[in-house]
Amino acid sequence: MDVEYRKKDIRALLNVSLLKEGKRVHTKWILLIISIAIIVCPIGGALLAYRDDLQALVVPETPEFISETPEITYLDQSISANVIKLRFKFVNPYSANLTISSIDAEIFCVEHDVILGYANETAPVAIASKANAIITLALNFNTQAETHFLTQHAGETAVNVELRNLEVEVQGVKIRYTQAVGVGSMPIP
Amino acid sequence: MEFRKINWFGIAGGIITLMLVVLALAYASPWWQLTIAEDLGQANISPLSYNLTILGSQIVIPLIFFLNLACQLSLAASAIAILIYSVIPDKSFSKHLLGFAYKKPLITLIIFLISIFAVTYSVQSILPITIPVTGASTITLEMSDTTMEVPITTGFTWVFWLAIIAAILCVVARFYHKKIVSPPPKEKKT
Repeated sequence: MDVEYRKKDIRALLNVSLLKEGKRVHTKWILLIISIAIIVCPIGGALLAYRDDLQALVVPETPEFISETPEITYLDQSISANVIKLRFKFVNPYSANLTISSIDAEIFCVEHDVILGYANETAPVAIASKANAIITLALNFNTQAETHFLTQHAGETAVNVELRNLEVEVQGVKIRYTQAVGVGSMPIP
Repeated sequence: MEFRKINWFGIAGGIITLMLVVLALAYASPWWQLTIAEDLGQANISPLSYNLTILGSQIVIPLIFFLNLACQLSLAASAIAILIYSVIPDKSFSKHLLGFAYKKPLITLIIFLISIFAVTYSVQSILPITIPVTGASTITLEMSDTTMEVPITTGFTWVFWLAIIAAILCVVARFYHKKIVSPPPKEKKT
């Protein structure tokens, strides 16, 4: 009887041990399957979803800021309190609001290639997304300009000018235009 | 449940790992951030979420979305496994749970750091621009009739440091496991 009991005990112990071992093996395999599944499933899903166009999976669509550029159009000029002001229309094609912090440029006489002064816009201009705004540049003539008008443009009422070294600062980004911006004929103040 | 049979490092690591997943899902919290000028663009990058916006346009790379999903699942599974392990560290399957969980936050962190260094280094190699891993720089872009100077700032966020803490705690939990499951010293027979 004792021997019989002992055999049963040993079998029971072995069963428990095997069961535990089995559980361990199961846990190990389940965790391994989970490890593989959490990596393979999303990647497999991606490949499946983009099977017709795998390039689209990696290459983003062309964002609008690459295809669209801001449009700046010269509108007109006005004289108030002996200051000539130029007005430009700025079209913001982006989905973000823009703030132009400053615009600075040099004014040149096209005919004689002489610097006449500076144009600047000091007050920041906020332009909402997909909207347009009017930018006003005030022209500040230097003393050389007065001499130039009296000597080179005596008797004339207007002079052909352009803006050079135009620098626009938009939210910390400085944009320098190397090409001159033609303003056309401007009345001599 | 005995007090000493709980792996507190594992619990802390699991909770923080789970927090990282929740932060990514709820707020898309980045680990590393690149800001272009004054809010003209931003890249919010982490292994769990990705968001790149330039001039209000979002640039979506679908592959990154799926890789983020894999990382989210991986870290969520790791956090759950280490939490289960931590409260029952002496069960037969606990060691497997620990083995499954403790490396994942660390591996994710290492892969993320390698990716950030690789991307910034390759950009500098290919293009004439410098993107620092942390700090400020000015990118000069020359086009036909314009020159643009774009200031950028980069840096790791507090979530990144949280990820480091999670990775460390999970690794410490692995070492602490030996201490809590080791059998008490046998008494010498007299």
